[in-house]
Amino acid sequence: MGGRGTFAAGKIVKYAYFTIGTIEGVKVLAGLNGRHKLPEEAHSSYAYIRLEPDGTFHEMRIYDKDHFLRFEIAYHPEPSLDPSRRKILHWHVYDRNFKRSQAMPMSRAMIRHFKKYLKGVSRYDRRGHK
Amino acid sequence: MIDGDINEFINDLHYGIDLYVRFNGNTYSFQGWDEGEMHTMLILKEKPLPVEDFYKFTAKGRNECVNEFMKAKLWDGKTFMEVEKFMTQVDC
Repeated sequence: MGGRGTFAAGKIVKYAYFTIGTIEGVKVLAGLNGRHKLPEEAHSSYAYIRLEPDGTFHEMRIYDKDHFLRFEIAYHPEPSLDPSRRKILHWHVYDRNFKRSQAMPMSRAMIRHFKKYLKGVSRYDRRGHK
Repeated sequence: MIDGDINEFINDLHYGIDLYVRFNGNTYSFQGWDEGEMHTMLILKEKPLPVEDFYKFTAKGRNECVNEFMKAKLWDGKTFMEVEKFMTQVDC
């Protein structure tokens, strides 16, 4: 799992992640060797999940057929969406140059689709959704 | 940076990746986003609650945004690079 063009051919690369479980078939990853985020590229999976230390959903990254990161669902404060600065479900889109969009609220349809992965996310996060 | 790679951290700042550090008993989140040519960096103090805005800057391009951040004396009158060795990178 490299990222943004890192090149490891011919080198021995330390494992950066390990799988601590799965949620509905999606791997839940934890970082090794000082890694604190999900991979920028996927190898064998179309998505990965990261949880808070208490087991609550924190982030899910979804990758395209070419293994590029395409969007990210997250659950943390986003002042542009919720001035109270409480945690709120939202998503970001990435383009192929790794440009990241501003946080957007999740639609009801998206929440319905991804609900099964959103372990521990409170219902109050549905407020304001279209 | 404790439990993190400072070079990778700075690289990630350019891309707006969600990052977290613990420093002086507080946890700070870093993130950024692009709107056309403009890039915004946002830092929140997330813990202890309440969550508070800590730093926000918008500039044309990622490099300018990060460069400006590097000049800002945000932590006890010191810049990020002056205190990063005392910061611990955490998952969230």
